[in-house]
Formats: sequence, C-alpha cells, structure tokens
Amino acid sequence: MSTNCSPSNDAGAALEQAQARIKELSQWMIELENMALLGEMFGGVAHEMNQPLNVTKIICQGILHDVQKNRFSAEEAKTDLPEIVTQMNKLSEIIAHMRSLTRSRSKISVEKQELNTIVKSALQFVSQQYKDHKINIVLELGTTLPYVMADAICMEQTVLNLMNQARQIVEPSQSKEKKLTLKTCVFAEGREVVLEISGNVAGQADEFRLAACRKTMEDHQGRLDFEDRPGEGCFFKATLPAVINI
Amino acid sequence: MSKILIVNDTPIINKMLKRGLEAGGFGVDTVELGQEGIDKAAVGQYDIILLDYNLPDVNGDVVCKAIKADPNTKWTLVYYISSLDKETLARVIEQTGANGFLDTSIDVEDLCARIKTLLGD
Repeated sequence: MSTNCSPSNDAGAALEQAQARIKELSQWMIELENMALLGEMFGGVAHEMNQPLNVTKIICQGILHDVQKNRFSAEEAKTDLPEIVTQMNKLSEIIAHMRSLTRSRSKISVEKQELNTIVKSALQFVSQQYKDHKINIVLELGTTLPYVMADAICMEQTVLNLMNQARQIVEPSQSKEKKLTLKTCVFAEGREVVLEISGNVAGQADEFRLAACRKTMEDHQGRLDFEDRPGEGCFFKATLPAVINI
Repeated sequence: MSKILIVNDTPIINKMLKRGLEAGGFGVDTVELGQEGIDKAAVGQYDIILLDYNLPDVNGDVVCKAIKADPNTKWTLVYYISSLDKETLARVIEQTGANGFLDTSIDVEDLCARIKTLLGD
C-alpha cells in the first residue's frame, strides 16, 4: 500500500497552501483598501443623506404650519407629498448603494457593463467633495463604447480608488488649477476599453493601493498601468477587454 | 417689507421656504443657480441672502465673494443655508466674508424670527 507522502508531494502541498494564503491576503488587501476608501467618502455620503432628510423635514414643517394656521391646501399637498416619497426613494438608493460598496466580495460576479455608467455611478458621491477641495473634474467619456465584462461594484471601487490616488497627488500641490480628467475610449482597434484617470500634477502613486487596484483589474482579465510624467501629470490607465459582438 | 433672496438648487426647498417666509411678512425671490444669485443680488436690493453652498454651477463661496466684492451689495447680509457640517461652514464663512449660517432644519417660524432679529425688525 502506498503512503503517498514523498518529499515532492509535501512541497506541492506547501506550495498550494502558500498560494491559497497569497490569495487570501490579496483579497484582504483589497477589502482593507475599500474600507479605507469608504471612510474617506463618508463626508460626501453624510451630506448626500442629509439632503433628502432636510428636504423632507422642511416639507413636513410647512404642511404642519399650514394645518395649524388653517391655510392647508389639498392642492398644494398633492404636489408636496409626492416630493417626500421622492426624497425617501433617494435616501433608499443611497443606502442600497453604500451597502453594495461595503459588501465583502470574495468572488467577483461579472456581467456585461457600460464603463461610462460605472464611472458616473462612482462620481455620484464624490464629485461634490472634489468641488469643495477646488479640484476640477473633467469628464471626457467616449461615445458608443463597447461593453465590458465586469463586476460593476468592484469596478466602481477601483474607479473611486484611482480617483482618490490621483487626488492625493494633485491636492497638496501648489498648482493654481487642480484638475482630474476621467477619459474613456476604445483601444487596440476596438478590442479594449480604457479608462484613463489623470491628474494635472505629476507624482508617485501609493504602491499598496495601486497593487489592490491592479489585482482587481487582473481578476477582470484587464490591466492597470501608472505613469508619472514630470511636467505633464500622473496617469492611471485601466484597460479591460471589450465584449466583441460577432 | 424686508426682501430676501434664496439661492438654492432644490426647488421644493425654495418653494417651502418662500411660502413660510412670505407668511412671516417677507418679500421673497428664489433662484437655483449661483450665477443667477450673483446677477439677481446685484439688482434686487435685498436685505438678506440665504445661500446654499453646493450649487450646480458655482459653489456658494464664489457667489458670496462676488456679492461681498460688489460695492452695491457688500453690506447685504449673506447667510449660508446648507446641510454641510458646521465646522466646514464656519471655515467657509471665514474665507468668504459671509455673515453666518442659518440652520434650515429649524422650524420656518423660528427662521422668520431669527431673520427679523438679524435685520433689526
């Protein structure tokens, strides 16, 4: 009877164990990075959530006053009350979106996606923060881009992460104009879709964060390149294979 | 009658504040864009401007600085009405020369009373 415990089998098992551990640590690194990102987004999200709450409160107070002063108008209420529903729907959407961004994603689930939609969704919570920090966001989104196969939430986290890295390079600079450009386009004769996030200030990216984003891109059969071009700026280029319609 | 200009990009807030402030005896105009706020403030002879910070075109700080830089409107009271946190608003007030901020989540009658106090009515 064979005992199957030769040195080569031991080495194989150790290698498998090490690979599993690397995978586990990579996943942990991505999750850690995403949590850090959410922490940084918190101010913007709190503001977004506060807005519908404030609007609802103002409407309710207005209606209450009208009732108390005997000037309540059913006609006015017909337009005011649906606004409360609209505001509550906005709040629900924000909460659902935040939930999906915080959910642990040990396995990606890819579907046909439009990269531009993912970019716009990412901007929803952070554009005001950038505006507050006097960083101009320029969108140059390509039209009629091919679809990509992506996990929309993972990809949105990556977009936010790359924007944040570009911001950290641009923000501390003395440059009069601070600008982030988000550009999407097709590449390699339509076989690839590219998102380029660039800042108008050159500088080094954070290696840890870059590694987390690179891992996500590789999980999508894509890649991530970073270039620091003195005098020009910093360039993050995320490339995904295009879905080719045959 | 004291005149108020509200600069806020949420139409329903403008509508409800206008309704409440008019019931409190003020004349009220509303606009939704920062640039409209600058233009209207220049000609409207307002006693107080209630200014949102986050606006679709230019932020409230730009509007406030323009109002305070214009010799015809520099004495007009400018108060931020925003859901921004108080620390940020305090910083913005200091940087832009605004007169302060008013909490829009307070009851509109209290808001009327507060504005009357500010205007010395």
